[in-house]
Amino acid sequence: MIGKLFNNRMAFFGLTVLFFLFILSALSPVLAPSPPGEQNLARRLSPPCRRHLMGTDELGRDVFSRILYGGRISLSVGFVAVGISLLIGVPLGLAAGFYGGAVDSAVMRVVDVMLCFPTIFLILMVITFLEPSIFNVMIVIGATSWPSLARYVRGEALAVREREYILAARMMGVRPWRILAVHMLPNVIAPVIITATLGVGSAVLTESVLSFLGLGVQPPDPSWGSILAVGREYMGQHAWWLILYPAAAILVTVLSFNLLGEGLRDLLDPRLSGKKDDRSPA
Amino acid sequence: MFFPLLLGITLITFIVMRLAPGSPVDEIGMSPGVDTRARMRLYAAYGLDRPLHEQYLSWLRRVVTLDFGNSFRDGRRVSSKIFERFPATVFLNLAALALIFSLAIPIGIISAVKHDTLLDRALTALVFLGYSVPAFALALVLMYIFGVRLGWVPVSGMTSVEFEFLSPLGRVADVIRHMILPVLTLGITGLAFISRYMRSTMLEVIRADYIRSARARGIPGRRIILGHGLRNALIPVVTMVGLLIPSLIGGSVVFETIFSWPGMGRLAYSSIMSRDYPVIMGIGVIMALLTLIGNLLADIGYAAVDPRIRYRK
Repeated sequence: MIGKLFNNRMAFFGLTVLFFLFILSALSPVLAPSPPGEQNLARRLSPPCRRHLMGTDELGRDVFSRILYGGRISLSVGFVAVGISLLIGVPLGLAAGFYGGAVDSAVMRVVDVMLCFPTIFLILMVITFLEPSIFNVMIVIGATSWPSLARYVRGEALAVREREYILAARMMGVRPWRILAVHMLPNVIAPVIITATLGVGSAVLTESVLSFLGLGVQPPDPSWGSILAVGREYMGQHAWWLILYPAAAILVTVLSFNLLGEGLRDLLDPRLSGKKDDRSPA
Repeated sequence: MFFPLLLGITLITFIVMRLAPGSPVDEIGMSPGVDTRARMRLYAAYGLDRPLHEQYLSWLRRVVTLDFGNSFRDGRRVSSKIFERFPATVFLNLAALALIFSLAIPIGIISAVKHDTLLDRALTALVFLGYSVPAFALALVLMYIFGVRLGWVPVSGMTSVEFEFLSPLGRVADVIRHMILPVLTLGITGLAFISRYMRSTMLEVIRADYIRSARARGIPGRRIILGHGLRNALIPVVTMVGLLIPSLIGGSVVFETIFSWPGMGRLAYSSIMSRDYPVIMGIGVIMALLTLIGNLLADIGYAAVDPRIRYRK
């Protein structure tokens, strides 16, 4: 399994880059040339130079340091948000597929309604009346991204439910929740892993969009999205480093998660390779 | 299926908006000196003092006739506020769709015909890259390079300051110049969905028996691909437009804000920021309605094209 992962070039590339991103984030206190909040108004909007590898922002803060620390925040938002979405989506999807009937239609109607809204609109609607904060961004992204996961898990559960070993377990009198947890869950885990991997990438992207709009990570905490917002403001003064570097950081992160996710899909679920998915490109 | 969903949509929009702390009355510019009685009068004027289910039902009754009430912000009718913004959004997204299809279909065909060659891999990789690019960040990069650095295209708005004084032809050219960047960004990032689907449909079609017999009859390759293959592969792809609509509409909230495009998406953003409930609910319902219609079109189109798919009942 692990060996196969290394043979799949896409997955391997994604995994390697992600590994480096984790190391960079974990070591950012050591690697960053200065604390991310340290201002130096005498050197504001300085282009990249030896002292500031990626230049400085409108308050003279070192952009390289802020991107390193921003990565920490983005990655934690991504993982926690996907964690929340898994905690909601997997049990609901499993229960809907396993029990069928009223449970199934109740869950799936909610899923259908939620999937009618563009996710970003739903998120914006909710985030404005929660205080914008890292914590709330995690919750909102998690709470709005579970429907497609639940639908996916339900589909798998429907197929697994009919297998002989589930029937055998039922006949032996195994309790339903035990069947769900011990017999069903491991058999739907492959699509869950794939969706979760792709989900982290899109959660990182959503976080950066929210921070760009001023509704995500709040200053003085650094975020790739909020650096871009400053870059937009100072675009007329040719502060290109405030646009290029955070944009590249988001691209590399999202691309790696997508590569890993697609690679995993090829490995775990050959039926699905090349099949389109319905995530919004916003 | 259609109407229960629509009802669910209006219910969710309503609940979410009313759970929000901070009422629009606070935002209308009440000074701290205003006394409670005046405040209560304002609440009553907006109907905010009635129980939630009554508010919802009276709102729903009017929504059926496309009457979303009046904006809290400027008192204008929500429906006219939305519909005057609607054409700009539709226009932009149609242009983006045109770009997406005119690029995605050739890419998909070439990828499928040259399956597993270097060209196919390069195209697939490029499409994958475009799919992973954070669209709003790409928008900023393009804005900087082509708008600020090179000064080729305007970076925001739909028209120039001197729009009023331009000739009709000049006006068209002006709007087109303003559209270049947003359409390019939407096109690059929305490409993958269609081109991947085109590639897999085309691959399927190429392996079909009637293609093999066409080859056996000695029909030239190009004609087989474009005449026999494309015709059969294209139709299911075109029905995908329906499924593209939600992501385009959702994206318009972010894009129109970045490019200051005077459409529905930017109205959504500014209404959310000022807690203009009637406008937000109106836009929510319209967006969800468009999504439903899109899905319906895709289903109908698909069933019409593929006789194997028929809906029971």
